[in-house]
Amino acid sequence: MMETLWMIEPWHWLVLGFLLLIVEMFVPTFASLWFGAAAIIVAALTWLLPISISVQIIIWLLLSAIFLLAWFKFIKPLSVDRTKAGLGGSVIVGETGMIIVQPQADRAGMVRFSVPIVGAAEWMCRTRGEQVAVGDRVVVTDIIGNELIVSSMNSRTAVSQNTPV
Amino acid sequence: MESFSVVMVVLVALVVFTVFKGVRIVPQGYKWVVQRLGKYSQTLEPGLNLIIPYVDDVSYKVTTKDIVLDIPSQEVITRDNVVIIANAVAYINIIRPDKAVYGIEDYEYGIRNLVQTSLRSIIGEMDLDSALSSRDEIKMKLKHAISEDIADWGITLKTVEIQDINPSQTMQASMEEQAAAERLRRATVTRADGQKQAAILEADGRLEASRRDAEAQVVLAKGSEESIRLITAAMGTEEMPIVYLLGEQYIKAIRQLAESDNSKMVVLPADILSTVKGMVGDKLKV
Repeated sequence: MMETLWMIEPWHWLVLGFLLLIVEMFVPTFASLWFGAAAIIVAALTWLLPISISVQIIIWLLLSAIFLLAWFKFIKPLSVDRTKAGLGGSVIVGETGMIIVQPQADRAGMVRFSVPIVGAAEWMCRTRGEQVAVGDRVVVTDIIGNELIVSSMNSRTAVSQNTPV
Repeated sequence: MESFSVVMVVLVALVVFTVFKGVRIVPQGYKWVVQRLGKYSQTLEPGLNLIIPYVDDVSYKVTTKDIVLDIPSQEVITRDNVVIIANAVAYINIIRPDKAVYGIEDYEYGIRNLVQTSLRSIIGEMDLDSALSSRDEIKMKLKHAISEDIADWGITLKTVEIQDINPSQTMQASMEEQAAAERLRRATVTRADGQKQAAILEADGRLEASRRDAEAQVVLAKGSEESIRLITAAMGTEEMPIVYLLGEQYIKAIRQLAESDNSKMVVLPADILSTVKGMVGDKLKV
């Protein structure tokens, strides 16, 4: 067993890499791919440079981890939601609507959207202390039960200009 | 060297397991609640996610699709003390998975009970007739009654639909009886109305006919007057016209007597003039 470990040649790495890529298709998680890719690169390195077996393994593990982290750092942000179906009621946050009943301090107002969102075109709404008038465009910041927390578009743009994104 | 290779093998196993346990793919339509050492740490969105295997643990997998809750049927008493049987179906959606799993032990059970009790109280404030006819109002009230309660659980109630509102068996029977009686009442009234109308029309007809008869008699009398006047003008004296007319009538009467089927023993006064004089009294100066 030990002998085989010391007898690792570049094509071993290559075969391992391909096997791991095949395994990736059968396991549900998205993990085996990194090891496979790293193994193929290690195969190339060992073919080019004489590296001891332990260093090879460490390089392989490090490369796997780096690939994994790199994917999450650079590739994952590129994935966009192609549908909002099934994302739940939180998709309403960020939508803009128009106030049709002014929210008072003691009772909720009413906001209307151009299309029904999460099952209704008109929602009860409250503000976090700011004044909005009937006809104002407001943006939804939160949803609590069957009421929305809204803030007016003007103040929101002002806030977003002040805060670095 | 041997120990070193063992360490290597174990290290490989460790890294492989770590990566396999740390990469999590959440399918669309679900959100996973992650606890770090027993405390809530994050909610995983659909897609590829990375967690730290040794401290993080996926403790709940929550659906963010709409959930259809069947509210079992129950007996409800209206304001006018009628028992009706109502059931509903509620559509809820989880907005904050963390609140839904930590805020209440079993949100489906909780919401089901809330809808049941609220439905009872809302229908309890209504009369039977309005409860049977105003489903939309019940729905609105129900939505408002529940929404505050479920706000803490990070759940929104999309809609509540009242499926059936049925009066109980005895109530249904009496309602049908009432409807039938109402129909019968209307039929009777209609029939009586018709009879009344007919009677009125008939009387109207009689009235009109007698009016016409009277008018005819008046016309006849006027005619007689006119003819008498003409005869008077022709005769010139006062008595003669009367005598003439009566004589004419007398002869007509005798003719009728002669034509009749019964006994033909007719006694005729020979002196018509004196007879007539006897009939009209001594005003006649013949």
